[in-house]
Amino acid sequence: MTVSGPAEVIASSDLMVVLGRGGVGKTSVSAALGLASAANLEGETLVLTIDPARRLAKALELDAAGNEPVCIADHGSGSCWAAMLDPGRAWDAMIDRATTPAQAARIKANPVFRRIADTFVHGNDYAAHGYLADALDSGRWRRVIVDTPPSQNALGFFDAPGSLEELFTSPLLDWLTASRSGPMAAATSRPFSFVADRLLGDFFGDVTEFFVLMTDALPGLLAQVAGVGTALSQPNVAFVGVAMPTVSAPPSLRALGDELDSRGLRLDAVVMNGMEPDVLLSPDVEGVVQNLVTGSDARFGEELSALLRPGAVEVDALARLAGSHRDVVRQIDVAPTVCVPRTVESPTGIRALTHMGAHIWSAAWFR
Amino acid sequence: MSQSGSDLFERRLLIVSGKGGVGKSSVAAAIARLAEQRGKSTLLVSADGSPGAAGLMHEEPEFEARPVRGHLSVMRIDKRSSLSEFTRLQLGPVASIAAGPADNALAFIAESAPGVGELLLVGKYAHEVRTGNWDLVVVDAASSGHLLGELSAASNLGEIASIGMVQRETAWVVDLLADPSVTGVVNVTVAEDLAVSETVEFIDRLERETPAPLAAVVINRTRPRIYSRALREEVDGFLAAKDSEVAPAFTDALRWALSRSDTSAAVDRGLRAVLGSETPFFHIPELFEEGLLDAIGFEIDAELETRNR
Repeated sequence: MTVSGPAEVIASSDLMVVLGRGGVGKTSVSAALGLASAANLEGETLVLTIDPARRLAKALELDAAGNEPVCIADHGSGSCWAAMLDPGRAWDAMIDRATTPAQAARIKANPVFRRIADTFVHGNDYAAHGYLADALDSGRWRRVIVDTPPSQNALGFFDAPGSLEELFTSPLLDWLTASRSGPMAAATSRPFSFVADRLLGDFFGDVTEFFVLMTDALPGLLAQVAGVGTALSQPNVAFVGVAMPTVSAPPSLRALGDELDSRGLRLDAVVMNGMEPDVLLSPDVEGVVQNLVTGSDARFGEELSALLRPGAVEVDALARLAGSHRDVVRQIDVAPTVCVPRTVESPTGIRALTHMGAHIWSAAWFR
Repeated sequence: MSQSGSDLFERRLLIVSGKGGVGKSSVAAAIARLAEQRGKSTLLVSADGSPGAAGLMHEEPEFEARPVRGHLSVMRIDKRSSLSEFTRLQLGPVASIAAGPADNALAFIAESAPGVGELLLVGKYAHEVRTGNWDLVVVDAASSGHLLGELSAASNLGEIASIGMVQRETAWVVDLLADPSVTGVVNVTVAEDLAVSETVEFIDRLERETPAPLAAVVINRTRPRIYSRALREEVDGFLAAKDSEVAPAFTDALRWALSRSDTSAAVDRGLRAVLGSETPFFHIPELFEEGLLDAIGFEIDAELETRNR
């Protein structure tokens, strides 16, 4: 797929997966993409976010919404909805469907389960998979944009079902159940339960019960998210990397591209967030700045030139910063890149995010 | 305790935190280097799951401390390896029998007990302080929200019913964290519009939810103040007048520069008002990334000099 600009990536995708490190503005970009989709395309777009900054949640009217999508922009033919994933509720829903009501109630009452979203390495990722599976199944959404949870490695999101399966089918279960069968416990389980017992005291009993219950529910849990893996490998899925213009951006985006590549997927676009604005690098600005810094500019006269000189020195410093940002973007070879300029105020309101979306929609790729 | 900024280097444990993307790792690394240059035996620990600050000093930081230069060593820790070490130290040879295939499972179990993983992580760097091997331990910690969770979980463990040995063996961690002559949290923020409210929220939660005292606030990526008030009025007059249409691109660029400068000054004023004079705070100008650590160290050093004068 060759596309001439970011608008075509948005228009040609049914599912967009937004990836990047914490603090780069992933949630803002996801919301901006959704708002651009609603403003320019038909149908309902869902932006699914998890654990957003509190202010952003408030701006998106999500702070109390839980898992219910909320309409944040309605243009008649196109609209944008946002949902903030509540991992606890998402897990509850998945457990309810995975097993019998009696078993589900026992699992939900277990203290280990109450912490699964936090402690299971991919607990939040898995909850997002569950929610995404439902969203895709519902047939309601023309386009779904997933703001992936912050993760240790870029694609941790994709590993959630596999690592859940691995955890609950490991030899651990045998050890745990054996440790409950008292003095007749298998010889191999004894050191393990000895260590776990010493470390954790009574809590060990809850863990054991949890593992036994979860193993029963596992097939039902995995079946619920099976569709997500398939959906992610379809051609109408776009993977979007978000980064800030620092020297670490090109290598980390390259690593992201390689990781997608190793799964038979590819990075379709990069959004470079927080660029110093283009105006700093305009040739007109450079001319005036040179004149003012070294002497005066005839257009302003001596007196005004003297007044403007300190400002010109600062514009010059920012222009060098802007230049270094562009040097960074030039090194990105893994996918076409669209630059989003930084703004005076952080883009947390719907208006600012709509503006960011409009910028991305009408922008050309960086050259 | 004196109220001068040099307190920073008289503590034994500095925990550097901040939102994602604020330059927390660079600041932690620069503080560690500065301490080392002052002749302190220093350990720089990355504890946020990434190579982080230690990774800026060494290609592959690991769980074992590695010397990088002079008196400076680096280390990278996570919950899982901290658990393995704790198990080994507490249980001796029997622990190794449970290692291997059971290691991951054991880690899951330990982490699923509320606060245990957090306590072992915080306990690991606190342990490095307690060994007496270092004059100063600088931690590149998790981002603000996670750090608050770690510090509070680590100190609330006593309230949860029997957690066995982990609980009994770690009461000293809370004492160490709570001692302001030993421990201090350094909050890194950037000169952007939300910085003041976010810092206030962080400090408030640090006080309410954790035993750890605040040591300093670092405002990263500041812009200089360009004009005095009087001159600024003249410049605003110019920008509002038709004259500015002579070179429209330049006036746009100038407006941008002024707004960056204004935001930076507002953050500075806001934080000064909130923090009062007791808490040192440092300004790090927006810098190019070559020589970044030296430059940050230079700024912190200069600020400390000013405070001590």
